[in-house]
Amino acid sequence: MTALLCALAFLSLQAWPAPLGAPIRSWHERLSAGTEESLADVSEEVRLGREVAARLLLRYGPCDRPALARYVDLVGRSLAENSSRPELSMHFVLLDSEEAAAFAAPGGYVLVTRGALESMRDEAELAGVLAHELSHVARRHLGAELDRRGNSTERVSGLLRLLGTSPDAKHAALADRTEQSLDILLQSGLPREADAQADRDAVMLVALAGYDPSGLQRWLERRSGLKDAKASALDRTHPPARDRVGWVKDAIAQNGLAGRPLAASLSRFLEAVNGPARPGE
Amino acid sequence: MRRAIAVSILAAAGLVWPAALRAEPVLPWPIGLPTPSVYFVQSAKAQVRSGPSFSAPVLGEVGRAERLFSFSEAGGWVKVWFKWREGYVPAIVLAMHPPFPRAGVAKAAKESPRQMARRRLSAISAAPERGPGRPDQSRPPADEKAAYAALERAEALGATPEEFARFMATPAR
Repeated sequence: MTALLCALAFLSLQAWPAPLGAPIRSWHERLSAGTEESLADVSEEVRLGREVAARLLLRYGPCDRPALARYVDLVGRSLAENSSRPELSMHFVLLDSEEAAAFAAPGGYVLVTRGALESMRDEAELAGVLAHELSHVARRHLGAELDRRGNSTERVSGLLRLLGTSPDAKHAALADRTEQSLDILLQSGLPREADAQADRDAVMLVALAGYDPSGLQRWLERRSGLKDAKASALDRTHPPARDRVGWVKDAIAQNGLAGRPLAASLSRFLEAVNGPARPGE
Repeated sequence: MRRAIAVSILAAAGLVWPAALRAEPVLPWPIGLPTPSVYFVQSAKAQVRSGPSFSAPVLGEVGRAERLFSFSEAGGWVKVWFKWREGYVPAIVLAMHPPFPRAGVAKAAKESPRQMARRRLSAISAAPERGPGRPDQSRPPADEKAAYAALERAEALGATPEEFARFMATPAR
């Protein structure tokens, strides 16, 4: 009888995952206190992201095909449903450039060029590229690289808050971080490990959204065969495509995705890409 | 019988009390067993599988903000307790804090194109104070104003919730 009651008491504890009593309230209090600080940091991240996205739009120009831009946004948002950053409003922006490139600005801004889109053959390939950039956003890879270079958003903003610096100096600090971010996105690139992680995440994200994860692999394989690939910002700032193909293949095999019948969405992609090319379509 | 109940209560108290005194995490967890990590689902929904693979059978589904207890994480999957058994959830849909609200972030960070251009201009004017500026920062503000306006248009161009619902309802083929 005693053993039975002991077992029942133990099982009831296992079945009661919610914290109990006063210590639990304090845990929530601590979490809430942290949340306020974290939200301030996320706001700074979004502010930096908007600045970087605006500068990329200045460089490449927005693509004047609203229906195609909306389609890219829809594919991206279907992937973002499984993102670990629900606090961010994700924006997927189409840039008007023939150069194949895709960028992840902090705070939920993913930008992809018309040239990159035209080099793809189906929706699964587009999803793979967007998911790679989405992973950079979710894992704050750019922020980590700025941190490594000694320009941490959090550290600078925290310091400015403490010192009560003038608005002009705050704006100058943000402008500095924007320049550093653009240098990383357009010239030096993120560390190799960040790209490897983003490719592994991309496989998971596209599979969770129901797309064929080998789409990214197919697109990378085609890019590795291009002779003038070095001319593109994407190839300049990312590890060699053959290395990335290896990471994607490994992730597909490790996660039990090889040979699974997932969607490539060819018809919807062709309909969107080959649609009317004038404004007001 | 009374003695048995008293012994049970004492036994339960012995299990709970020392765990409650621990600083982190505050959980009623038996002494001696490894303390679990607490994860919160961040995605709209997530499937719990019986193994760390998409080919493993689905045990069930969990929704955003749901709390899961875990003892280990490996290969991009988190091993969790789910309905009295072991399950696996992709690590990318979990975080160790509850989901943050979206509204506060957007309100605090979003400026109008005019505000952004004005801020940028004041950053340029402040540049000499912090030493030699980068050549890129001397770009005419008119271009930048246009870029901020383009950003706002691009943000507005995104799909509406209705369009997104229709897109999600149409299965990719």
